Amino acid sequence: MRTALITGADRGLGLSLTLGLLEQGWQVFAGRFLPDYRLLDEACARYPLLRPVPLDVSSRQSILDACAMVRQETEYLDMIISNAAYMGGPNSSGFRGELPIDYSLLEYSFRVNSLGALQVMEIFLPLVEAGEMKRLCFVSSEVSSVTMMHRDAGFRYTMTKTALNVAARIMYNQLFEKGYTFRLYQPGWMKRVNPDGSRAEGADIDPDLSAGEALRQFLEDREDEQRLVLTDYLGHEWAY
Amino acid sequence: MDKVVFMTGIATSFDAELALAFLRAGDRVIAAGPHCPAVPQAVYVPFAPLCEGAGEALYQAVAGKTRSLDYFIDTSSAHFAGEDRRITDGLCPEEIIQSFRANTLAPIQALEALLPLLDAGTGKRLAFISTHDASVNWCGNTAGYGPSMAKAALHNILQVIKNKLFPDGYTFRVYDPLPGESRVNPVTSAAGAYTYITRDRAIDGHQIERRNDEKRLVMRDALGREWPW
Ligand SMILES: NC(=O)c1ccc[n+]([C@@H]2O[C@H](COP(=O)([O-])OP(=O)(O)OC[C@H]3O[C@@H](n4cnc5c(N)ncnc54)[C@H](OP(=O)(O)O)[C@@H]3O)[C@@H](O)[C@H]2O)c1
Repeated sequence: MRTALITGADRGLGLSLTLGLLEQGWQVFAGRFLPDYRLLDEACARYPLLRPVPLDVSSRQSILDACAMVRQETEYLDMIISNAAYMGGPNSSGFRGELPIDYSLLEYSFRVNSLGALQVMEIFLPLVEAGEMKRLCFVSSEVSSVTMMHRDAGFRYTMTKTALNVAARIMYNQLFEKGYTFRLYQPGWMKRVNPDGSRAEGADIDPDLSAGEALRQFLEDREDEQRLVLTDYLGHEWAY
Repeated sequence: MDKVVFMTGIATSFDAELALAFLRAGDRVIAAGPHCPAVPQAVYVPFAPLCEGAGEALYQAVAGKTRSLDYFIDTSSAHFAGEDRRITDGLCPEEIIQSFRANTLAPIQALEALLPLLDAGTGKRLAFISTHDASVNWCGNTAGYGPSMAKAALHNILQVIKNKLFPDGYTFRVYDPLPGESRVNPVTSAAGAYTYITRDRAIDGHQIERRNDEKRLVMRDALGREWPW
């Protein structure tokens, strides 16, 4: 049986990825962060191989506790999908903005989106080492691309994804020759998911659609695994 | 000549040589942080980044010395224990955070605080000493998560800031001094930084809108090479 860990799986892309893998017969340890979202619990009734695990990626202790829980059920993981992210918040990360820059929120964003992803990989790595597939996937973003950056404010979120990309590069530099393979994915501008599972207005694509393409890219082996590239939901490649 | 330069710190021999290059040219150098014995001519101001009121205190300290600034130079290159650890060695997450605070947040806070003085100056040039170890394209290391992630985050922020401030006349420099490269030493690398920071980049006089190299945020190194992000 194939097994995966997915962070930030209460809703949105994380939930869609979770359900997509369950449909394909995987066992999924799904990181739960939001107490008021019940979509994972509802899915448990339909999918016996779904295992929600409390997981706050900004806390090393929470990651260690989640890993201990996962270890009670499996001796290996085939794939980790780092998806959890802190987005949104006040407009306090730009120059000449209405609000002064909020440095503690910048740090929190880095702790979740960059360092959190790195620590999840670090702490769960022995389980991936024991698995066959050894695939480490990172949900990044188009705004991680310094080359293509179009924004002139709101760097609290954008900076964390460039930091995430370079962390993935450093991991790749060590682990690729040990048989690990990597994915960096830009999911597109996705609709937000409400607590009842309905979609908020705005945005381009449904998370289910992006998750379908993500799983195609995450699960397929490639001839050119040595290339660490950022690809999007259309299969296009992004400049870093 | 007669420009006023702010440096976020004079800590390494590269920083000292860079400060001396500006002083030799007749410019004034104001630096944050501890006094550097090799550069007694600089004016030093205290800066305790990320503490309550840090930005305002820095602004007041610098505004007490000058009415305007022409160059802002971030020299942050703080290093912390455990940077040699690979992911399989057990990482030091709090030291990665320390690196992020010192190498990303501190210079941005200094820049935010001093922007009114830079607005009042004529130079409007913002320079950042960085490293190609933060290049997602090129980083070849298996360790050094803290400094690489911190500078990569900074590169992203710089592109966002450039989009905001370029229309106001600001230009940007990102420079890799290549510590450890045998073909340069702190003196020659700082000489390269000085010319790179002070020299304007090409603008094709006939087609200003189409061929203005200043529009591109790039990282160039002590050997004159450009690194991809
Ligand atoms: N939405 C887009 O248009 C878009 C575009 C490009 C990239 N992405 C990336 O795609 C991924 C999924 O985005 P999405 O739209 O599905 O967002 P989402 O619905 O907000 O899902 C992300 C999940 O991560 C959770 N999370 C936040 N902090 C966490 C923490 N400390 N520990 C564990 N989980 C935490 C979020 O909870 P909270 O809601 O409480 O924060 C949320 O449940 C993210 O990595 C995002 O950066 C999204």
